[in-house]
Amino acid sequence: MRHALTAYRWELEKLTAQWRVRAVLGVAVAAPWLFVAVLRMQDAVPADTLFGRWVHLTGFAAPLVVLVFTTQYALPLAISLVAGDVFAAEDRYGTWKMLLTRSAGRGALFAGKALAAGTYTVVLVALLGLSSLAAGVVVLGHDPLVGLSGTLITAGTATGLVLAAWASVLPAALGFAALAMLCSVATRNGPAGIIVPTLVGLLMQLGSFVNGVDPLRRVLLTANFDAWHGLFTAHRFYQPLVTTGLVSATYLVACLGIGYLLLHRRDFAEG
Amino acid sequence: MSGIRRSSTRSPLARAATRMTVLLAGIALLATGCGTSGITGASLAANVGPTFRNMYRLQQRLLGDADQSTADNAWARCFRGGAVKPGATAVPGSTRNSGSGAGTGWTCLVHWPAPDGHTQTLGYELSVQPNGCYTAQGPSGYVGQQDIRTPEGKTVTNPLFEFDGCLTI
Amino acid sequence: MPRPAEFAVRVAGVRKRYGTVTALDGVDLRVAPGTVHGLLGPNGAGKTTVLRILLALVRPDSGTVDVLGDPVVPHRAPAGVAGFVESPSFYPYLSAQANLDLLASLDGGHADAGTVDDLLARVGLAGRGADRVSGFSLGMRQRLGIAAALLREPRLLILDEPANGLDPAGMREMRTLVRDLAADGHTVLLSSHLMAEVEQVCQDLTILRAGRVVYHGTLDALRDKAPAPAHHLRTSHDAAARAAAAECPGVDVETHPDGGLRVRATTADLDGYLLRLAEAGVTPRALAQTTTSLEQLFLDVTGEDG
Repeated sequence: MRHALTAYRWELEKLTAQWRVRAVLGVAVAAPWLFVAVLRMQDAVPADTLFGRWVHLTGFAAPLVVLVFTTQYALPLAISLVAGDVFAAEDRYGTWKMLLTRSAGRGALFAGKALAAGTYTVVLVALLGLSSLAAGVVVLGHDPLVGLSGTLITAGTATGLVLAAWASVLPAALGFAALAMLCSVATRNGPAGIIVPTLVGLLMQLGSFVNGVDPLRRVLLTANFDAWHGLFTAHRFYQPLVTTGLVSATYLVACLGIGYLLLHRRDFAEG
Repeated sequence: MSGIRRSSTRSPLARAATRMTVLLAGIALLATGCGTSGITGASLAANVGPTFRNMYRLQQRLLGDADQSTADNAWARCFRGGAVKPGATAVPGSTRNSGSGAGTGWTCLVHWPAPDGHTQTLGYELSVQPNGCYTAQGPSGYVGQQDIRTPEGKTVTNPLFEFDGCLTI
Repeated sequence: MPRPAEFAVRVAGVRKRYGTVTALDGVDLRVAPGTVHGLLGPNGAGKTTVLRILLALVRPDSGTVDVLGDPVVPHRAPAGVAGFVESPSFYPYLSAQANLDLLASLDGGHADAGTVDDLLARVGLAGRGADRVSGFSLGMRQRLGIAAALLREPRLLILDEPANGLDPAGMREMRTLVRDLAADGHTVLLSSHLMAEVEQVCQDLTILRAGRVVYHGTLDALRDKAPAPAHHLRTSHDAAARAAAAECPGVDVETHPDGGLRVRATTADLDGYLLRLAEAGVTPRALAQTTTSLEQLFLDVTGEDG
């Protein structure tokens, strides 16, 4: 346990020392402001995205538009950029032999890396959500938000619901992080650990638009990205959040479990 | 006794992880399997009706009208296929809600009884996504264009021209 | 605590295959505590595989492995042992101090600046603690690797080709360091493919060839078995030189691939031969010793001689 926490602390240190991580988190903070500024300056609204048509009426619509856009295209990639490299990096630098010849066991090293990748994921989502909420409210105002049933949601409630919506995608985000880690351990290849989960995310998104495969759609990891709609209707419903949360947890446990076993049993003939 | 202790291929940790994954997968499958495809004419009508009423209130509020309740007894009927004629009181074959599944080609007729007894019917075309969220596009001749002007001179989106909603599934 | 008579390393009957390639085919090895033991062999003989098995990086297919009296649990680093295989690697974007601190904390300790400075000074990297490892040469990384190993305060040090990448001065320093470590009571197991390097620091020796042990014992015992050293001789008249050699017992002459003759003889026999050449009217134009007796033995035993 102690070794796992030590490994976690050093993994965080290594992550923050890399410019790639700082760059992604910097973009997570800055991009929503840019997006909101563009919205402010133009007359057209992103009407094909949920809540897009209300961006000029209230600033609470903007973070939801960012949420839809990010989860559809960018989030698995942004997560995999870091989580998909966290094991393969050791192969790249040849440092496994230095780490594995210490008292900390393979399980502790795995746990430390998993915790660090998870922390990065949570920070990424939090920065995106908070930044887009702040940008929306500051630039576009805090009038009441038009909910999905047409009712008006006051500023205070809207703030809470927007934050809840962002928080609700964490299970899938962590699931993608775990998937990226598994790819990193299995392929020992940095680019593969980044590309594979991104492709999986894209394929799942495409798959969820196909008609007629309803039960299958609900076991996709990306289903959790859409589960927050029930927060914004007049009669709130939470069942999709619970279901997709469980599905995401399954992916998380399975990916981490397989990843750990692969690391535990591996012969390090190189590196 | 010296020697190499071979860790078994099924170490206790591996067994525990496998069991937990199978358990979670089972729960997840049960939970997901229990829901039916909730996209039917009836569920759409039950959603579009109240949403229309709220959108009407919103439009009146944006336009500065004091009385926002004149559409509070509007109701909807939804079906798939068939031509839409705004203002028509009945379309052959549409006496009840029908149809199911996601996609385009949905029509919802919003019936709006006026105080003088005659009912106005507005035809909305719906496109429904597999996740249960839909976009309803209405007849601009009756509900106004995409944008409307508030009394203060601000241009805002017309809630009745096109609105989104999500079904409870 | 292991009993004094206990071997620091005891390997018996270890086999390891990677797919179709047999890396180790029944290796037996014993390292006495407090000695410097050389593991010698041509590239591909299996030296690195043995070291990886001792460090629990690789699990052997069969056989027993005991380090410091305890069996090695596969995939768990044995206590009291430190070292590196192939070149030690570090995180280039961190400083030397940070790298050592990271490794120390994975051992449950902490390497403060003072400890690190002392350690770096000991391995010849004084004052380089704050520098990023990305700027280090191969030789500097080798030294840092030893520093990282010493951080653990191990009883057994495992070093894979520690002089690799070092210039002659660096090699000399490395040899001194290894001797000092042995004098301090550490047991050192080092591998190399150069007998000349091993000759200078090791007391005991194991020679590997194609995954098997071909010699296991002390260096002194090996010297007794060694053949005469080889020399490269250029003369004014090779044919006559050959004829002269036939008359000298203990002198073995053949054609040298680079021209001239390869002569194997002890110093005494060589003196006699040269005098014989002079009598025969043949002048030696160049004479150089090409291998020591042990190097020659190593080449013969591992079949690397052309």
